Amino acid sequence: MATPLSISSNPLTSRHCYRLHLSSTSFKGNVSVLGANPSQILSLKLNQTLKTRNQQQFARPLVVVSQTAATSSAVVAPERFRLDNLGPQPGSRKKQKRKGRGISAGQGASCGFGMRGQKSRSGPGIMRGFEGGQTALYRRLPKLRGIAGGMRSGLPKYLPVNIKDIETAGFQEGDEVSLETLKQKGLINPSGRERKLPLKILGTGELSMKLTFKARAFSTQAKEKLEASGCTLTVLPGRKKWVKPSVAKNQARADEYFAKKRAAAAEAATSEPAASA
Amino acid sequence: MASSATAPNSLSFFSSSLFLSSSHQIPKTYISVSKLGSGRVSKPLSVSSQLATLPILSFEGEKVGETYLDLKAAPEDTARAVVHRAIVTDLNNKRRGTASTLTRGEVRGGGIKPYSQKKTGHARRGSQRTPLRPGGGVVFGPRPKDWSIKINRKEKKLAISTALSSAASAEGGAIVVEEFGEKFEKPKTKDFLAAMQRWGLDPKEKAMFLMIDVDENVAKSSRNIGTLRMLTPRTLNLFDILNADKLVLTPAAVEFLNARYGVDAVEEEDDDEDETEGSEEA
Repeated sequence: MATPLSISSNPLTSRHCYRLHLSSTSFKGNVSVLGANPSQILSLKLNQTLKTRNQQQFARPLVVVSQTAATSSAVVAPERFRLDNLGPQPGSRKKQKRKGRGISAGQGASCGFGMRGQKSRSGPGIMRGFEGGQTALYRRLPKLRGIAGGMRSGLPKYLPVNIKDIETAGFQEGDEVSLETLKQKGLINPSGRERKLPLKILGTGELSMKLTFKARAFSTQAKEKLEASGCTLTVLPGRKKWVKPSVAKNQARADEYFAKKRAAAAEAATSEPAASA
Repeated sequence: MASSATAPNSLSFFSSSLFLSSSHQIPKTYISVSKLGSGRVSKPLSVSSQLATLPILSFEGEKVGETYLDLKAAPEDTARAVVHRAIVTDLNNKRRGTASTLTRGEVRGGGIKPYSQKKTGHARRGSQRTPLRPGGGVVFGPRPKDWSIKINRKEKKLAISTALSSAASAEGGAIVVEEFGEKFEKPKTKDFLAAMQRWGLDPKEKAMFLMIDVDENVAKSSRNIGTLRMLTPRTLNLFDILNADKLVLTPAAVEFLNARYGVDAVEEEDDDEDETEGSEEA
């Protein structure tokens, strides 16, 4: 080595300037000359003293660090990082417990498992969440509550549209308002479950033109407003409930009989005023 | 007359370089001190900086000036651990993990029971490939394993800059030589060894050269020197920095290091370069 001792870098500005000044003035252009300079040797001794003091300060908090410092001071290792003077942060690495190797420190014999019981057996242990046979917590509680669990009473029954929205939708006099035309106008955009719901007209707002309405239901207020403005309201029939074919046949015959009877009664009523006149 | 004319030039050059370095040094130290203080208040782990002045040598070995290397460095209490973590990561990632042994079930043969269980007087034996016998399997032997571990990208860069800063701050740890790529007319190791002697490098000591571009004649002249490592910014790595006794840089390399690992390095550019480097590695 050209320089047997390495000079430590000082955080203080003045000392750094001093070292810099010395090195700059004494340097003649050849690195090998540095070793033979007596003033350089003196400065090296001074810096060695500083380094020793610095190491002492550094060695106070931790024992491991003092050991490292002692080792480095003994060997007079250079301060720069090399492959042989590195190490992990003190306290960051812990040795693995060597279980089952002697009873001196408590992890021999049964390695902390005791002597009996299910948890002392080899192989997979108790599965997580198991509570000894009783219904575990994750099964005692429902997974999804309320409407997320599929309860039917909270589902909507209609697609609601208000009169004021129909007023501003751009319908012309005499147009028909139905589920299809409202979709075309862009007032409603049903998706998912809403695609199967029927239309219901609600009564918020006013209507200034005569339109033809076809919906499954009308609210009371909407019916009053629409009839007052002269609109035509058609209540569409709901889904026909399935019945047995024989029951359907009987229903048809009953409807036919009652219709005939109703017609005869109407005819009798018509002839009776004439007789009274 | 010639010698007296040369002396004033060198003297004035020394004084000007001294003024330049001193004026440049004080603000840097002040900035680093304030940054360290403010860093400790806002963040628990901060990055300090060390200004290292390096002599510039000409190809003939005379000192022609000075330059500075202002790199990031980890705080003193964690710098050793940061560099250690980086070098351990590099060495682990270099392991191939191809060691492999066979168990008793994988060794060929040993299917039939050699002799009956009882009435022979010998120990019972079920297979000729039991691990107790020569030629048998190996119990808990080495198997192919992936030894690679992960390190944060910024942490790795910090480790490299810390190691470089440590080498540059040590006395005689780093020197700067003028660009000598075109100084070799033909590849000849003796010429390179003579040049190293002029620069104060012992061929028996390990030296690490960092150049932006390695000329072909330079590469061939230095290839046969066992203690020498010729690196480029692409092949710069932590092991060679720590393994070298001396670092030899060129002015262009010093500029590269200050721009890439310096205190004033731009983060966005670093991120882009890191991404590029990552993709290249993949």
